[in-house]
Amino acid sequence: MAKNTIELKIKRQDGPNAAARWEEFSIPYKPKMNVISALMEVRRHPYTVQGRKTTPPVWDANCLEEVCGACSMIINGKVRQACSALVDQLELPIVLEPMTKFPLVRDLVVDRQRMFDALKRMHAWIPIDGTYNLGPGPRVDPNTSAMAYSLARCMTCGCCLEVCPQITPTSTFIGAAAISQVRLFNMHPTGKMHARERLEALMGEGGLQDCGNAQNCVHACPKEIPLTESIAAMGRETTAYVLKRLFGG
Amino acid sequence: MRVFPSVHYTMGGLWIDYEADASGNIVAGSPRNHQTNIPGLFAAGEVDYEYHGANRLGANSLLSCFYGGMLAGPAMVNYAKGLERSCDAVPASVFEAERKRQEEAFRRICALQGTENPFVLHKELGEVMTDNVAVVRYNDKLQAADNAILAFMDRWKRIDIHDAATWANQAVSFTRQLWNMLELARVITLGALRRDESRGSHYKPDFPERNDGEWLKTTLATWTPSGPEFRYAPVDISLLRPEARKY
Ligand SMILES: Cc1cc2nc3c(=O)[nH]c(=O)nc-3n(C[C@H](O)[C@H](O)[C@H](O)COP(=O)(O)OP(=O)(O)OC[C@H]3O[C@@H](n4cnc5c(N)ncnc54)[C@H](O)[C@@H]3O)c2cc1C
Ligand code: SF4
Ligand code: SF4
Ligand code: FES
Repeated sequence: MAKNTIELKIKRQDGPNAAARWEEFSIPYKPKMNVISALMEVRRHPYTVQGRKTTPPVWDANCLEEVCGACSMIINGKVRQACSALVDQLELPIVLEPMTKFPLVRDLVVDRQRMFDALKRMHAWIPIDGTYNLGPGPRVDPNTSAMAYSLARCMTCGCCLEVCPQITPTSTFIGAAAISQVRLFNMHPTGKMHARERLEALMGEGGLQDCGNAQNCVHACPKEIPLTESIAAMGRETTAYVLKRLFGG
Repeated sequence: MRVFPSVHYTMGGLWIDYEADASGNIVAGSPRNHQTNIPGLFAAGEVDYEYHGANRLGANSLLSCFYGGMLAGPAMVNYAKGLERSCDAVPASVFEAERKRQEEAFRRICALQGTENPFVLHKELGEVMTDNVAVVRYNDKLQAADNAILAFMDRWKRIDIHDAATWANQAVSFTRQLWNMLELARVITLGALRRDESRGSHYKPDFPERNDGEWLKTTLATWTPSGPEFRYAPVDISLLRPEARKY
């Protein structure tokens, strides 16, 4: 039988200190909806299935093509992006919850600031003096460039942190995403010049040694970034760096 | 996956100034560059009207964003350096008054308790604009679109906001922006209605030719309480004569 409606169950919370509640909504079925277009339909008629008037659910989204990471949430128990979660492929009712490892802002919106702080701590950028023309950068071989591209697909979405047992609301662990970004910037010919700075940071508090090797992260990453490979590679790189530092190589 | 040709650049935007030397070249560092008609307010990027005219050549928007940023940065520094007093010297009452004005605007929207839904209005606005004010334009349809926008503006006043929270309230900020979208939709629609020619992404089958004699000019819209007012400014072609675009 063709579906006429889509049922959604949304975990609502008015603010960080408010109590959470569940609300159920029913919207008209249309083919090829995604969770964002379903949420848009809900806010066009913010009444629960019981007919109770409520506030339009609050969520975040930007690119709508799974490249910005803003719409990450837990959908039917799995953390993923709402914009690429196709309603036709989801079991009903669609259950939406905010990620749990980040401070809640409201409803489905969380604050992923700890991820951006981690990138800052890891020096995850290449400093370039933009005041004069530096000329073309060094050439990169195709293999390195392909690997760099796969690492560069990280959108700081938070899925890998959400599933990591070592990440708790109070832990200082930077998480797999930032570790993998150190690998990206350290393999870049210009980025290499600051490799030591990044390795020092990676060996500091909340760094690589806090990873328990549970490997949940690599399975959760929507961009299929080889996170465990990155963690292993950074393990080797930090070890080599420590030995070099010890023996002054 | 659904594929639909969507708007991905806004040709036109905030008016900005620039300073040219005697040969017509831009004077880098001039505080006039990229300054809007509001003193001290600069605009650079897609938000400004410069560089593209009636169409944007493929991949040139990022280029113009960078270029605009490179001009606007030094312009802002030089503008600030040339000021006789800084914001510290402005009495606190000025900022306080503005804060009150903004809070009042927020409060007014929180108090909207009609029957209309802002997200529905937005969807309908999008449909009207896509159907009538995209690339192919007819004057009767443009006029009908403007009437529809005026009706939306009326309905906007009867919105039921559903959310009076003072924390992470998306309904209020969306509704505020929706009003600005309506104002801007009128600028685009009425600007197109007046321009009886075809140029760039503005194509009127009833006026299929580009008409440089009458329309080689920039449309300037000024906000007034009773709707946009239009003026026209010449296009600076001192460095490059326009040619027909044939691809
Ligand atoms: C799908 C798509 C594809 C495109 N492809 C190309 C392409 O291939 N080549 C090309 O050259 N161009 C392309 N463009 C156009 C180009 O990407 C944009 O013109 C350009 O990115 C605009 O940059 P910007 O910095 O001017 O504005 P934006 O990148 O839009 O930045 C504006 C910023 O202001 C912030 N902001 C808004 N309101 C407020 C506020 N009240 N307070 C504080 N911050 C605020 C926003 O959050 C945003 O970060 C594309 C655009 C789209 C949508
Ligand atoms: S391997 Fe395990 S502990 Fe380490 S980052 Fe991934 S999920 Fe977390
Ligand atoms: S590594 Fe993958 S899961 Fe983690 S933030 Fe980046 S894209 Fe998201
Ligand atoms: S909106 Fe950007 S990833 Fe979903």
